[in-house]
Amino acid sequence: MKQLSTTLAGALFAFALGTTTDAIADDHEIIIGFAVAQSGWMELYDRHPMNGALIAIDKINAEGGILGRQIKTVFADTKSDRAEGTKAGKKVLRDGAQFMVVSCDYDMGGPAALTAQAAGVVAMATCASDPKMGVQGIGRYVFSMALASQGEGFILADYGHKELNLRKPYVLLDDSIEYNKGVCQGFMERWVQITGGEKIVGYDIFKQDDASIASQITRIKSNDPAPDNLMICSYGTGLTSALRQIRAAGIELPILHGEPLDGSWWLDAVPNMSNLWHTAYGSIHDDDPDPAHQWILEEYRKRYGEPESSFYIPGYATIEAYKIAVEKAGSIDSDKVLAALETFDEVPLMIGPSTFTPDQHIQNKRPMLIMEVQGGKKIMRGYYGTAGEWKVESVFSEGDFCSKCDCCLQ
Amino acid sequence: MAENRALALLRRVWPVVSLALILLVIAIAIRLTDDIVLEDVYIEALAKLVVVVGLYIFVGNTGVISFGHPAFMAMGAYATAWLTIPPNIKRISLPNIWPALAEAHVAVIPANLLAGLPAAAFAFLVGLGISRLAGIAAGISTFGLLMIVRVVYSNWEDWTLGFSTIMGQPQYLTIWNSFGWGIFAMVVAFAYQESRLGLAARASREDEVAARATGVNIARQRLIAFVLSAYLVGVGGAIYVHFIGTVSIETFYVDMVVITLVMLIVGGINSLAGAVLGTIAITALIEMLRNLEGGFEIGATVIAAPRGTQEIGLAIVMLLILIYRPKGITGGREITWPFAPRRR
Amino acid sequence: MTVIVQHVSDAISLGALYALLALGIGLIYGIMRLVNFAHGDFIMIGGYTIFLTAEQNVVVTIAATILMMVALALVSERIVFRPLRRASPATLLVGSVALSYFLSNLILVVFLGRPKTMSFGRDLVEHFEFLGVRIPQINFVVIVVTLVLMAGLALFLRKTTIGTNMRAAAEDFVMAQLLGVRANVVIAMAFAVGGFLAAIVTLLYFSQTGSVSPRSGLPLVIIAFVATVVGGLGSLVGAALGGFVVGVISVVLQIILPVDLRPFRDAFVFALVILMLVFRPGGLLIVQAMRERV
Repeated sequence: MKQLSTTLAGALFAFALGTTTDAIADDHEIIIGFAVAQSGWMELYDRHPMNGALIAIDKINAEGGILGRQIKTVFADTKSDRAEGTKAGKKVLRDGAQFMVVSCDYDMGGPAALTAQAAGVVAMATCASDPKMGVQGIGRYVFSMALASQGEGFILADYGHKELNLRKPYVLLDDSIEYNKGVCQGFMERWVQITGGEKIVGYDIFKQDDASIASQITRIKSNDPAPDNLMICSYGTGLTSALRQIRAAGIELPILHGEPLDGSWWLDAVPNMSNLWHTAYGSIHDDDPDPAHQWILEEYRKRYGEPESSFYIPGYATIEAYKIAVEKAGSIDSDKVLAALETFDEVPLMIGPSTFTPDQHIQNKRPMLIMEVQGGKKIMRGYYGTAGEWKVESVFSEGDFCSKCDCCLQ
Repeated sequence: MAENRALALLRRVWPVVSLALILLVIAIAIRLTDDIVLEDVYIEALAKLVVVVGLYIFVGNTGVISFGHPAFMAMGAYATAWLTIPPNIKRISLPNIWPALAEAHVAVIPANLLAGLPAAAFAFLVGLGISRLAGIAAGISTFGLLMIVRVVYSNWEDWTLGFSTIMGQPQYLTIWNSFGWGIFAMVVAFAYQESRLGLAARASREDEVAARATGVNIARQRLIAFVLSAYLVGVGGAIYVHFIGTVSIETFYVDMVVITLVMLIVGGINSLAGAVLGTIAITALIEMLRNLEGGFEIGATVIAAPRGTQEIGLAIVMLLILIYRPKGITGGREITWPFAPRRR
Repeated sequence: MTVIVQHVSDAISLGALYALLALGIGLIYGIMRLVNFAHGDFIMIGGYTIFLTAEQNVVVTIAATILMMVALALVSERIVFRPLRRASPATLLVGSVALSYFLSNLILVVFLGRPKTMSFGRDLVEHFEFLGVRIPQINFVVIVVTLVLMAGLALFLRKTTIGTNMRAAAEDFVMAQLLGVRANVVIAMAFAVGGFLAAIVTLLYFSQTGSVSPRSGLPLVIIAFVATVVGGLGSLVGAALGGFVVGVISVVLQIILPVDLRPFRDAFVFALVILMLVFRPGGLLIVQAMRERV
């Protein structure tokens, strides 16, 4: 019995430790809450956006704040866990957050965004590329600064077809996360559009955790008609492992890929990588054509050291968008800020022209930077936008396009 | 005479009443602080409590380890989503689900109770095979179950949205109704372990040969415990996602296996008190470690433990308990009536 | 035809890698009834060792990896598994799960989540011509290394004193102790050999994939788990056979399943495992000593 009472006392003690004094904003402050992953596997996707946002906040504060108010920040760690995400959302709300920044991912950021939605506080995901992070999914108080993953697929299809003159794409999808599926779906949808109904010559899937993709490679090699490029949708170790095995197998076809290849972290896995094009928010190699991007890169280096990706840009733009909306609304009242955000029409943010409407809380056609990789070196190819326009509603009306590859030649 | 009988009854059910009182005291204490975050911590703990008590029904009573129970949580979680999301939202988010389910809009409490049924049915089917296995083979095959449910649910796009997240089920949990769910779970588990079935299962745990000799059909007892346990864990999974507000298959994977097992083992695998107090103790420990990570002030300096302290601390506590107190903090005993003189 | 030859070589190579993987787990199980869930995390840490020594000579990298992993296996035996030696197999397994959780979170704290990539072993992934088919050298290397290691292990277990002691301990631990086999030495030796096998898997696996993250260990240990059970717990040949079968089955399923069913590949693999357990609970090869005694 003694042990039981000790346990109980310990429990109460721990709960008591959890209580802290609330910080409620006065009229001279705005409190921005960060419910993002500061530990766990998601941390690597949230670190750069959060640092970018902090750079923006310091800059705004130095320039006199928003409506004369200084921005104060509060933080809660989601620990890369959904239930912790709910608690992190509640925690920054308790600490007085009037605007919530959530994780760079719909699935991981969703629980915190839900708490903001329930409390009627505007929340923005720094780079969640699923349109469900918005009015059709979580609710009208929730936005995402990202380009929808399908839109990224559109850019890659346009770039491949028009700039690289590719004609016979083979789609290789790692179906372990939704982002990958979205990019590949967008690519296939757009490919059929621009070619006036031509099909994808081949389609196959692999898994993030596959030790070997040898049978997928054998299938690419024996595909008839032979493809003239590979569109790959993956991320992390599964992606680098796939690239290494594909190149080692002697497949030198051009490869198209989305922003998970941003940065130099993966180049060692495939030495002398060539013939690869990928999208990015900006360049971390000192060759970004946009001076603002060069400025934040240098600022980032000064404060946090060498960045691993350009994901600080959506983080910066998130705060920028909030500032513009508050100034437009003339108030920090959530409903007024929300209404101001929904009037965004090609507003030039650091990340590019951004549009929000009452039906669309994510971007559908903003340009991204194209990076080319030759001989293990990155070459900046400039910002590129798609001529097509991906409709956010299409996800919510007719179901997923090409989800089982009904637009493939098979 | 009547008084004596009432006292005898109270003494009999004291193991569960005492646990309920402990949970109630904590609930009241937390309400008094009026801190919404602390309340959420406790609500989540109570949702996990339902799961851990469910896990205990099988592992504690039969002595067979399971790594697969998060599979049942997942099944309950998706079932409650199908039942409780309003039809107008379902038309958008799950357009290809069965028409009958598309129009379903069940109130949360009955929906959560129903949500355990698919898990129970599935447990019955696979349990026919698994209950014949012993020891480590059973443990590993339950792990196989988890993998199968994970792969199927993450690719069953029309019903589950694949790896994506379903939203829209009401977040109705309060500290009081989740307390109610905790009581529900404990009562189910206690009623089972006091019944003939529970006694037979525990007999098979203690001594297989002797149990068999007295006519206990071990495979059948294990199957019954497995199905009941899967049901309660399914209900627990449903409650858990009403807390988070989103359903995703990723929630129910190895981390969930680890945390639920830690709770059960630290508390003590062989008693209901172990399941309940283990859940509370581990929740408290996690909160404490989390607060260390967040940093605390001593005078003018802020001291913060490195990120990840919580997970590492949890693993170390589990290893220490396994090595130095393998029966858990309760030693596998229930809380007994403290006032009457012991007869034994 | 060439396609079929290519598929066959893919299947055999993956099967061989999985066989080595399962062997490491099977060896320890045979002696102390521990199914080591942390085996995958040993391999993950081996991957980081390769990453850290990638600038060095290849020989240095290989030596460092083997040393690191043998040391890791021995240290975890001493700190975690020796105090648990008298516990039930289930408790041991739970202990190894806790160790795995500890190791993967420790690495996450130290190296953060972003995958680390390495050029190590990239030459091995190149191809050579064989019967008109281009086969990756790594396939060949994996198969040869597996055969050599299995032969070496068999010789070690039969011809050396410590090997014989290990076999005796696997047969009947208590009896072996009564006959003068020193338990600590035998078990430590088993862990050292297990660590060595894990190091070889590490070197081959990361030559193939070229990148490591704190979560790299999990898929490997799941495969190894399944393989040892399929093969028959406690039998070394069974473990290797189980690994081989699981590898071949997953390649075959990847090839024959239509594209709509391909995402469900792993569900088929695990369903086969459970069916297998139910209808042949002892695994492919049943070991008399492994019957759970009452």
